[in-house]
Amino acid sequence: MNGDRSRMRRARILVVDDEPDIRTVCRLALETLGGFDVATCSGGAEALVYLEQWPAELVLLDVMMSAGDGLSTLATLKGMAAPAPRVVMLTARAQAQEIESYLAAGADAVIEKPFDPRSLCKRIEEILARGGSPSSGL
Amino acid sequence: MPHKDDYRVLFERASDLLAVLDDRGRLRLTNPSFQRAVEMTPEALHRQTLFDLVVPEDRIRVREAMRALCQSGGSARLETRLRGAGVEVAVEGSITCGAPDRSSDSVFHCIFRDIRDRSRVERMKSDFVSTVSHELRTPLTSLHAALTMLQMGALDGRDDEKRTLLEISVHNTERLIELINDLLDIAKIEAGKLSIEPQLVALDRTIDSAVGELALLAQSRGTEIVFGHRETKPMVHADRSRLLQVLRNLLSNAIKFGGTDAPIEVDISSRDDRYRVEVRDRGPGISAVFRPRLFEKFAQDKDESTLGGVGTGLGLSICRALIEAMGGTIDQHNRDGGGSTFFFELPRREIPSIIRDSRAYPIAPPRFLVIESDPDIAHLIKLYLRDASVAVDIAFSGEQARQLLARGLYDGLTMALRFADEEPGQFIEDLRRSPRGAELPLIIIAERGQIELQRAALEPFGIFDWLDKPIDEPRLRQAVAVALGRSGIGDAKRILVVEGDAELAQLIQIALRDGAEVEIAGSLDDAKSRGYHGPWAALVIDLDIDDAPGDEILAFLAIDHVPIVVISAEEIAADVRDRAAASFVKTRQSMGDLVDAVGQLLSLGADAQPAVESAP
Repeated sequence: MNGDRSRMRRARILVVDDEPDIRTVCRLALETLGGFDVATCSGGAEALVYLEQWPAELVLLDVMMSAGDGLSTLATLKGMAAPAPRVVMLTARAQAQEIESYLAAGADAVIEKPFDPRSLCKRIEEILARGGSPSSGL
Repeated sequence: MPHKDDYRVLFERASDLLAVLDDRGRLRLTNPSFQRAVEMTPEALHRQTLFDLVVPEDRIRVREAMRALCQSGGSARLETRLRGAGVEVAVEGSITCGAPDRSSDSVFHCIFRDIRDRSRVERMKSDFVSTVSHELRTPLTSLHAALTMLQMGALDGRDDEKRTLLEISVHNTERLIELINDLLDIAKIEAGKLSIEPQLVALDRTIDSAVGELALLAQSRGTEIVFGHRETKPMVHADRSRLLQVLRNLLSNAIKFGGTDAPIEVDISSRDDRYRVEVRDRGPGISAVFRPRLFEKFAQDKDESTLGGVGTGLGLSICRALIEAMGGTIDQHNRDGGGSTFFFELPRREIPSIIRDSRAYPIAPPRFLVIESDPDIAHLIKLYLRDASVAVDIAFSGEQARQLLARGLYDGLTMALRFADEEPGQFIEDLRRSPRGAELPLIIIAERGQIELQRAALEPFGIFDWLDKPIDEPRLRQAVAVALGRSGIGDAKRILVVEGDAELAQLIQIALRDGAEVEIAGSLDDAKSRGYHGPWAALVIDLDIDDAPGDEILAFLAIDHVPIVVISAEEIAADVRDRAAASFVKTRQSMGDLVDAVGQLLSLGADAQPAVESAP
């Protein structure tokens, strides 16, 4: 359990989804319910560039994006030098074997659409707290 | 006793794939269906074993199955794929083991059926379920998250963000409605029950409506829709709402997939006895691989890697079915220099002389006289009122106004306070003394200073409303609407809504209450007990209420003098629709449409009522 709740700054989360409405609801949910620092991108390539300037602790990544495939972005994120961000995949086609394949490809968790905004925040807090917080030293 | 050739004929003509194998699986004998399916000659086949043909991943399984058969005898069911000369055939069937007699080396007899079509359909179905669930989940995600946050009050005090969440909710609800309508259309097309009601339609106006609806979407995606060549008065015989549906679909595809490098162009041209509508974009165009399946249902270009992503694969197949049902054709070609042209052609129709040059009002619209000496202002008022479906005549002087008023055509008038030939006070006094002008609602539109000066003197003549210049359009429209609603009847209009679903009833009540007093009846019986002949200015009936057999509804619709609006979740039968003043399919039209229709009915209805009271 991460006891250090008084972090120097709020955890940064980058939301990557090609649906503008989903970016907005995720941002509002994570900001207001989770108290996170949130930025959004509409595609994988844009996200990778953005992360260079704005290193996030966690990336919320849509699987089914038209521009820049979610899975290839996952692979790139997982190949990044430490501290690589945690990656949570968002999917609207959650079938058991698909979830397995994302986890096998290095995703820290898979969240199905539609999701409840409260449980989204809770899941993300759990993942950030799991096995030492990447943000605790900052 | 059958002849032994009978067996051979059966073997050679069977549509199933038949083969006889020896103990090592070699193909001793195959029938023509087998040879055709794997596209190999008998000679080539007979050098092979069945295991050579079975796809590698199934070989061990098939071999084990046949070995087990040798032990136990009898037959085994088998489903696999055979790989022939460049083709792969999905088959299912059975293998039996056991030689007919000791001298024969025939050991296995195979009967397979080519199930490629079935597997393709199954794969399409499973793709479809997966696509639809994705298409449902995506808007539901935004909707659910937005509504949950609103309900929690998570954003209280942050009005802009709350409004954003509401807009997201509305937008995604619309997406869901669109998807449901597409699915229902597909089901109807499949069942051969697509209803098309052709009427004479002006293509250019229909296109204007579609473009108007999508202009904002285009803008938000960084593009715009422009008109190219346009034939004058292009009339076709078509179902207007279905035509709109096709245009909306083609335009929104162009917006989603057509990129932002160039505007989307829309053309109407004439070809022999047809009109042709083209929608052109400068997007990536359609790949040669995908193009043959473009208009097939559930067809999605999986390689589509850019821009708007894949659609549901329903829109274009619906478009094709609709256009063909209207006697036309639809197709696409890639443009030189990149991009797509989607086009459809419909047979042209001559314009009957009766409706040529007349405006397409089903009933004569209410009519206002605008008395205003400044032509620019007069014209502006005319434009504003025309948008509110009010016909307008202009009088530039008092003299002209008197002549026009004598014709007795008007439901109301607006008037400036300064015109060249006459004192406004005298004019109004004369108007109120005339038989036709005594009760006409009169709206004064003038500079604030003039209004202040003359208000007290004019008030006794019954001025319906006072509006300052410059004219505020919504204010003017509201004043006119209220004037039309009140002319003749002093009280607020009463509307009876027959609706079994309490939540929907409440929504309708809220939507309509600005212009009227709304009562709810939960059933037809309830409605009858309230006296449906009497006091109502309009009835709104939901055809989906429990106690509503068709003839009951028709009896209701026969009520004289009360306009009836029917709504339903399903397509409304033609005989019902014909007798109703207006009809709505719940998912196709919005609450706003319903409010507009009822509003219009109320003001038109007032026209037919005898005038019983003077203006206030």
